[in-house]
Amino acid sequence: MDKVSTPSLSIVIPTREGFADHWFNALTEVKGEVEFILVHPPGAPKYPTSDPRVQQIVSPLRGEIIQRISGLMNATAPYTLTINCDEFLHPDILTMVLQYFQRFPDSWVMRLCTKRFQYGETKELTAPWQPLPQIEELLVWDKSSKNQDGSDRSGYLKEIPIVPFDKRKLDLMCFVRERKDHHGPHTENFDKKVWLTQMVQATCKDIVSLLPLMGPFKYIPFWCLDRLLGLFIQAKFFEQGQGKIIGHLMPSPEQLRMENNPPEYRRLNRYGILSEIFLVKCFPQYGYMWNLVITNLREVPKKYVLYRLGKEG
Amino acid sequence: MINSPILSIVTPTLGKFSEYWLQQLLAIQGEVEFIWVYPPGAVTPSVEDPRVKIFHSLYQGETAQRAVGLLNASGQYVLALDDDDFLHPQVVALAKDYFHNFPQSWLLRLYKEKIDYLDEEKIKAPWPELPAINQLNVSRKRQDKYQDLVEVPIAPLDNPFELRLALWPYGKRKDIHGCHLEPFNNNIWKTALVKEALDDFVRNMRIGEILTWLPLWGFDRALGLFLQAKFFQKDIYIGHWMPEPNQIRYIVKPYSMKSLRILFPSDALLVKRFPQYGYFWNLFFEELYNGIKTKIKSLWKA
Repeated sequence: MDKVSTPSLSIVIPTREGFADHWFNALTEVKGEVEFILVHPPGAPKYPTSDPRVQQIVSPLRGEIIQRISGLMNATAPYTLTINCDEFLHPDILTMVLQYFQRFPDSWVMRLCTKRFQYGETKELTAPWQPLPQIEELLVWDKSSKNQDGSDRSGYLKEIPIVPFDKRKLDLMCFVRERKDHHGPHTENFDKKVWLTQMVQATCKDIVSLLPLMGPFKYIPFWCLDRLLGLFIQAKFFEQGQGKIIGHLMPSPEQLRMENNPPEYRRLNRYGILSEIFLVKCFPQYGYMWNLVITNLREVPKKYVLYRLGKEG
Repeated sequence: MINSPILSIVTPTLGKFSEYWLQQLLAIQGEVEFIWVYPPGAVTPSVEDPRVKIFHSLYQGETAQRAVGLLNASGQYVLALDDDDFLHPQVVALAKDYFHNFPQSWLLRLYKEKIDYLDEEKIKAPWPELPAINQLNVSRKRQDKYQDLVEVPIAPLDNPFELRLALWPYGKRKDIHGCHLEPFNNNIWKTALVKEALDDFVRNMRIGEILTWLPLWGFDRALGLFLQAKFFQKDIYIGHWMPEPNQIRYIVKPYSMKSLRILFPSDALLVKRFPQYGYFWNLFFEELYNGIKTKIKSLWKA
């Protein structure tokens, strides 16, 4: 890719054919030294643009996992954020990211405040953005904040602890009911957060090394990198991060706006088990991973029936 | 930044190329882009030359790395080059001149001189001037002296399947003989054709929803033949073979310096996509037995 400057933030976006022009135009309104890495499926043309910050890669294989990892592996900035090709970013996001990691240099992750809209609410999606707060002026909502009025946390940075892998045991009840592990202030998903690129790339390299089965056979599921990568990265660096606050959730106003999928791209037939099975393979010592995979497994018949009925699942 | 260069030169690499190789590559003149594709996690050099574009492939290996490079080429023509071979500095002008004179051609096969890797004198000799394309005679057969532009026919893919190759592990195919070419590398191809064929090639690697057949080696020949199969027309001529002087210095290393290469997994992709061509079945069975013999030899030595 052309290196026209040294970017501070890589924004990785796997694309599908026919993403909207207005989405691309809004993306390139993000200010400052960022690089946008668009990863297209094979056969898709590169989007015509003169913005030198836009790097475009045609992936040899189609799929959310393979396209997103390709983008992440090609990121060159110290911080990385991945979004989808229908999500909108605040134009001043870079300033906020730099301020955040200057104030919290030991953080792994900065979670964006997001706002979701129904498909077609274009007016709200493209409404002017509210000014972002100065990070140094924000208070941190931590355990000691329990005594304060919890009704309004809008001006606070909310602490995100690492996933409590060591405190969760295998829960066989997950075979018959929902798991409870995901409740709590920790985060499981990777997307829509700014992470340290070095940690992300080291983790992606591990995940890619799991894909070869035997000889030329590679196991490459299509969907569901989001939670796999979010949990993998925390498990991989768990020893360093045990008991640690790994990041913060940003307060409003929102820094990311998302729109529900259009009808032709409804979330059908996506089985988390196909990718998240790697978590059990790599970290069998954590009951947390087993509980997740058991729940995933239990959801397969339900999802399949919904898929056959043409309903979102 | 060049928006649409004339030529893209695609090189999969581990980053172990020599300083001299880099210097020679960057000495190539004209509107060119150099695409280097590294395996995941590889440390990449900082190169100031804006013509250099660096990508990371998700997998290490000839197939995965070269496919990423070719799919991302933006030149009108594309050439795959290894990171120890050398190209004539006027190759861009040559490509432009050739396709201007032969706009219907698919490819220009470069004249390759094989040089021992220790023969520095030959490797570093000054490059001779290249002839103008319109001053060359065009012929159908290569003469003793390589002075003409020789027509390259399409591979005879509709040759019949030879049962003896499937039954006898020491059978040798005869398909390989002739003026047609099999390899993709070291030829200048039209990028649009390559991308269309490659798109089909990578789709063909998918087996069901979650499995992909991604061979490590053999992409060079597989893609060269896949292209010809994708756009096959019997008995047509698809390009020309350049005469002397050499445009590529192909560095030959002893067999002991090369890694073990089993090629039939790539050839299997040809059979899967184009089972109607006997040529591919002959190739597949010969390489299958070659692969088995190579594996047995390596186990024996170990």
